[in-house]
Amino acid sequence: MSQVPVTVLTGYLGAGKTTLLNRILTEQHGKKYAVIVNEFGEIGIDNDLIVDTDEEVFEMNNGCICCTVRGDLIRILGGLMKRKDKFDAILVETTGLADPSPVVQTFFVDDDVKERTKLDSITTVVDAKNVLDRLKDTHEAAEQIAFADQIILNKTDLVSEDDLKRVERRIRELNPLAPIHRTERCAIALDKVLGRGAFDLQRLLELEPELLNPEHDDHEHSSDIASVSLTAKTPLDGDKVTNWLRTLLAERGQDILRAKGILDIKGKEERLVFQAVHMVMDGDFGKPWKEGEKRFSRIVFIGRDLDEAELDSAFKACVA
Amino acid sequence: MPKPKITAGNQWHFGAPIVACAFDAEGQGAFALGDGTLRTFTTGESEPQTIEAHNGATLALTAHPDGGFLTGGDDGRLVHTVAGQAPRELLNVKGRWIENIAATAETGLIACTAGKNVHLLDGDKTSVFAHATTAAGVAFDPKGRRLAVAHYNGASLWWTKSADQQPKLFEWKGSHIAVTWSPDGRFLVTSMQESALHGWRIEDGANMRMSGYPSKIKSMAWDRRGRSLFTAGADRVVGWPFTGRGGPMERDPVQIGPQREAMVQTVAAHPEADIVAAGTTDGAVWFEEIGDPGTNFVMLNAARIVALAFSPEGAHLAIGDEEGNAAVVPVV
Repeated sequence: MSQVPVTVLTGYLGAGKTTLLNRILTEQHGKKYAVIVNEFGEIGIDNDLIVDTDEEVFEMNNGCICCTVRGDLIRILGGLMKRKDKFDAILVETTGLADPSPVVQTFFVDDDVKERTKLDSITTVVDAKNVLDRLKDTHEAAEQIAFADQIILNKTDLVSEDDLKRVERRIRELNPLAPIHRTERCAIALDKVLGRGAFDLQRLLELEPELLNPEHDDHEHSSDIASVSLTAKTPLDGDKVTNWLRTLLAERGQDILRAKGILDIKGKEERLVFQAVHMVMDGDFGKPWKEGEKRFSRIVFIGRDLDEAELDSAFKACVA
Repeated sequence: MPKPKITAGNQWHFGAPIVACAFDAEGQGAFALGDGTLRTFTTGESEPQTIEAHNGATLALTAHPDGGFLTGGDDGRLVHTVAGQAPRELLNVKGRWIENIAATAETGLIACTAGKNVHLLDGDKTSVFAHATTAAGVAFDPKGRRLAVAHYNGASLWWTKSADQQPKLFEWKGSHIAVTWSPDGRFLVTSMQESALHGWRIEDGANMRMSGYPSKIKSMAWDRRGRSLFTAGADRVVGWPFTGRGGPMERDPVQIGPQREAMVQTVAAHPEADIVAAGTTDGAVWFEEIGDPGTNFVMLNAARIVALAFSPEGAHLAIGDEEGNAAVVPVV
C-alpha cells in the first residue's frame, strides 16, 4: 500500500506559513494536495480540499510520559484515506504557538497513520526580522526551530546581511543540522520543500551534510534548548551503543527533541544510521563505508538542558 | 451450515473504497463509498442502484428507523436516502465532517457528530449538545431516551428530551473513539486509542477495563440476547461476557473463530442465531456458530474487510473491502 507523504509546516505567528502554503498550492504542478489547517488560521487559503481542525493534543496511556499525539489528525488522516481521489501529498499547518512534538509523534505512534502516510519533513518558517526577539520572549519559537528538518528563513529583504548572519548563527545553536533556505515572501522551488524524505534514513546524509561536518566550537548557549554533537574516531560496540541510546531516550526522551546520527559499528561494513523524536527511535544500516574512507561516528542531540560532558563520556564508553 | 459461496451474481466492484454497509428493517441493503455514493441493493436482484449522496467521501452509514439509510459525509451533510427517491438533506454543518450517526426506532431520534457537537434530530427539531473535545462516537440507549457521546477523557450521557441540561460525565483518561450501549441498557462500552475497551456500569459508574488487544478495536457487536460483546482488534474475535451484575469484571473473554495471521477488522452478530461473523485485514470473512466450531470461510479479495452486516433475518451477510470489492453471501 502506498503511503501519502505529509509535510508539517510550523513557524511562529506571522513568520509566513500561510504564504508558503499558498505558494505551494498555486504553483502549476498538476498535483493534488489536501491541506489541514487550524481554525484560527491567519488568512484565506485557496485549495480544493481544506480541512479545518482544532489541535487536540492528548497523552497516550502507554507508559511514556512525553508521548502526546494529535487526536484530530488521526481522525482526519483516516477520513482522507477513505476518499476515492488520492492525494499526492498532505500539508499540515500548525498554529503559530504549537509545540511540534505531538504532530510528529502521531506519525510514529498510531498504526493506521503509520500504515497509510509517512512524514516527509517538518519545515519551519522563520521570520528573519523578528525571530531573535521571539526567541527571547517565547519558548515555542525555539522548539519549532529545534524540531525542524529544514528551515525557510523568510523576510530576508527586511534585514541586513550582517543581521542575517547573526540570525543564522542563532538558528545553528538550536539546530545545527537543518538546511536553511533564505527566502523573500517564501519564494522557493517546491522541490526543495516537498518530497524531502527527511525521515528516510537512507537519505539522512544527503539531506543533512552538516552531520558530516566537524563540530562547531562556538557554544554560547543562550537558551535552554541547544544541541550537542558527539564524535568518535574508533569503531563502536553495536550492542553497547544501541543499549545506551535506548536507555538514554527512555530516561531523557522528554528533553531530547531530536537526535540523528551515523555510527561506525565494529565488524560492520555499513554505517548504522538512526534518528529519534523524543523517545521514538528508528535505525537501520545504510550505505557501506568506501574502501580507504575515514570512518567515524557522530551523533547530534537537540534538546533541553543537555549535559555535554555526561553524554560524551557515556558515548565514549561505547567504543569497542 | 452449508459453505457460503461468492459467485458472479452476488459480487461487485465499485471502484471506490467501501466505508460501511447496512440493511434497513425492510431488508434493503446499502454500501456507502468513498466517492460519496450509496449503492443500494435488494438481495437476490442483480445490480445495485447508485445514488449520489455526498460531495466528497461518505464517512458514516446507518439504517433510518423509518426505512432507507442515513449517511454522513465530509461535505458536512447528513442525508436520508430511500431507494428510488432523491436523497434528502437533513442537516448541513459547514466545514465539519459528519463521521458518526446513531438512530433509534424506539423514539425515532437521530444523532450525529460534527466536530465537538452532537446534533440530535427529533422530527424537524434539532438540538445541539456541545463537548470540550471532538465527539468521536455516539450511541442511544435501548429505549432511545439517553444518548452517550465518546470523547477525550470519557463519555457524556445526555437525556434526549430535556432542555438545558448538564450531561452526566463518565471519566476515564485517554481518547475514546467509539461507544456502544448494551442492549439491556446496563453498560456503556467505549473503544480507546490505546487498543483497549473501557466500560462503565450505568447505575453507579463502576469502571471496567478490557485490555490485551494488539491493535485498535474498530468494530463491536452485541449478540442477539445482549449477553456478549464481540470485538475486533485481535487475531480472533474476542467476546466479553455481560451477564450478571458485574458484566466482564474479573472475568476472562472467550476467543472465537480460527486463529490466523491477519487481524479481525470488523465483526457482526447474527440477529436470530448464535452466529458471529468476522472480516479480516487480509480479505477473509468467516462465520461460526458459538459453541460449535466449524468455521465457514470465504476470501473476498486481498484487501481489508471494513464493512460487514447481516440482513434482518440473518439469511445474508453483506461484505465490503477498502478497495471497493463487495459481496452478499447466503448464510444458511
